[in-house]
Amino acid sequence: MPVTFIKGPTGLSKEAKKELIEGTLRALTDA
Amino acid sequence: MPDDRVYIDEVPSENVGHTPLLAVTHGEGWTVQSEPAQIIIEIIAPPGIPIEAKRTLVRRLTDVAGRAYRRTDLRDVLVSIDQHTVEHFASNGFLQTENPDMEPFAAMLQRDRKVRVETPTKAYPLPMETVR
Repeated sequence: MPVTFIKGPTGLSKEAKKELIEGTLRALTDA
Repeated sequence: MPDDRVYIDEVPSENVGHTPLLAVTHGEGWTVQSEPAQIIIEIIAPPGIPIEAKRTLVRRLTDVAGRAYRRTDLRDVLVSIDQHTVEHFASNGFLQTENPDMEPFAAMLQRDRKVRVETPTKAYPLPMETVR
């Protein structure tokens, strides 16, 4: 159920966004 | 039923302002700094995350964000854990405590809570709402 908002500067590549979203979801799932 | 969600909010530098670390720590003149924009991660979650799980969570999120935004100074990443009780969440027009889709998950939480009440440990403490 956790919802995460990540606010940061513009300019992330599509690959970096994918890594950020997947890494965040993995961390949430393990918590 | 897990329902974790992640949103990336890209903020243009003209919409950002924060105090530069040097000005804060050395008493130099206060100025607004916009670049590089610092990062904030806000987690909205139900209460009851054990403290060790919180430590691991914030470390991992900080590392992930640092890598994605190519930051070497991880003080640029601020994490906030905002905890709300499950009844403060809603989906499909139902409070989550009354949501038919959530019944299996609620039952699992109930079993988990019962285990915690019966066998609390330092690593797996009672959630605050159970202590009251």
